[in-house]
Amino acid sequence: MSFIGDVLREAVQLLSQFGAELRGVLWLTLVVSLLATAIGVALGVPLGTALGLGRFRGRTPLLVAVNTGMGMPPVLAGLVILLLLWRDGPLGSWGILFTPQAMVLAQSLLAIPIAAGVTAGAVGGLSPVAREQLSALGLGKTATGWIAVREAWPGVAAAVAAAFGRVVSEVGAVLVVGGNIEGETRVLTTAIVQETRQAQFGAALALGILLMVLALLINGALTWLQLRERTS
Amino acid sequence: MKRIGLIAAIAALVLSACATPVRVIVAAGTTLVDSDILDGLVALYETDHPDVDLSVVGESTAQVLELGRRGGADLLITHAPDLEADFVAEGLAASYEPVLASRFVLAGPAGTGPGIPSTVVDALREIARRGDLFVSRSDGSGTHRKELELWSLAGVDPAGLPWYLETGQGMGLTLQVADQRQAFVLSELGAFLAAAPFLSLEIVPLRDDPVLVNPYQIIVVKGSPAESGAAAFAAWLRSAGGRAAIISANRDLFGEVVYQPAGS
Repeated sequence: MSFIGDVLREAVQLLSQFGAELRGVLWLTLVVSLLATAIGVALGVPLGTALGLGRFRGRTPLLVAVNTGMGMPPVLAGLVILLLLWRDGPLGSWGILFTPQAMVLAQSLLAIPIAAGVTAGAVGGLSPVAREQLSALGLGKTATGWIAVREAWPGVAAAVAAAFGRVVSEVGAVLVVGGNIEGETRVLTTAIVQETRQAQFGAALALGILLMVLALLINGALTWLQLRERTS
Repeated sequence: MKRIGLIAAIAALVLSACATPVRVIVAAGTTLVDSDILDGLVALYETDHPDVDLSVVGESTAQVLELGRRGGADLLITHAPDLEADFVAEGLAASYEPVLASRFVLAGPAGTGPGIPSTVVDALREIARRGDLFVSRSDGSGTHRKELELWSLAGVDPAGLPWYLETGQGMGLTLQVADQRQAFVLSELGAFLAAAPFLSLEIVPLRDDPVLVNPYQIIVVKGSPAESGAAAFAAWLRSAGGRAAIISANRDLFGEVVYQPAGS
């Protein structure tokens, strides 16, 4: 018991100091996760809407691919991006391996199927009446999609939250393509791995608490948006 | 009732499968794991001793010793003599002996060899003067401690300087970062050779220097759950048979002897 007590005390003490280094790590975590979520949502929500509404050829295999992608191990996404960005690899000339850009890329790869899969479920779950009315409007595909997303808004908001939760909490992809370089690519999750490995349990727990607070604030904002739209 | 019987039968099966061999947790520096040298020796020992199950965990030396303190490992193989001295002084070691020795190397982008002076300390001074990128483990490992010792001999304090990148990770990942960022890095030789086929980094030619010798010590943790199994494996590594196995594992992996056996 005293062991856990000591770790907790140290964590609280470190949090109360909150220095420039910790601020940098927190800021990078926020920027990388939000960018990856934005890319994931920008590509995944339209894809999911098409999958939820459409009756087109190749829909079923695409749906299977998306659902499988939702379970892709982050470290595998990291490996794929690592191989693409390696200096001798196909995108090696970009020179962005072990930079935040590579981390955003790898996390986007994780966010897209989550955003698409949850959106497809939400849009596909609209009532048959709503769908009939939608097609009776005779609008173009884009306009129809927009209305469907608005109709299914609570579910689409859940897709955004799920994509953010996926990327902010994963460590495998960002460690593999980021390298946990201090002041450049160190984010909360990779810092937790490092502190734990070095038996700095208090520091590791402090970072973990910070990560949970960050997730709580972002999800709080998303939930507020989700509920506000529903009651309006 | 039938289902409970089935669950009990499965549980008994799983338990009996787990209970037979003695599980010895071996915590070792990441260099020994990343270079694959330990894997081969463990496999060989387990073939001859089916009653022993050696589980190898690769961590920085600082964390390996911490695992020993917290009862998380039975056998420790480390390479930071000053940290090990503290562990021994705390009365936690049942035995503490040399087991292997390799070398540290300075590696850097291909073609940077000429222009680099011939001692490691001068080479580090030159890197610092030019502001060339340097990637550091910064993880409390034996390699990291050696690097800090060398910087201090060079009279350079690189902490926080823009050309000094700290990964806080193991040898393998740190080598990848150094390679892709075209940076210099201090590495243990075996881990470097294991990664070398995928790296464009080259070893910087340096004058032979005793400061670059990298001795590994083996510690049996006093009072650990598998203390006798740990002691038996440690004794084998230092025996004539163990030494011969170390030499042949070296030849298989590297075609040369990188890890000199240190037993008597």
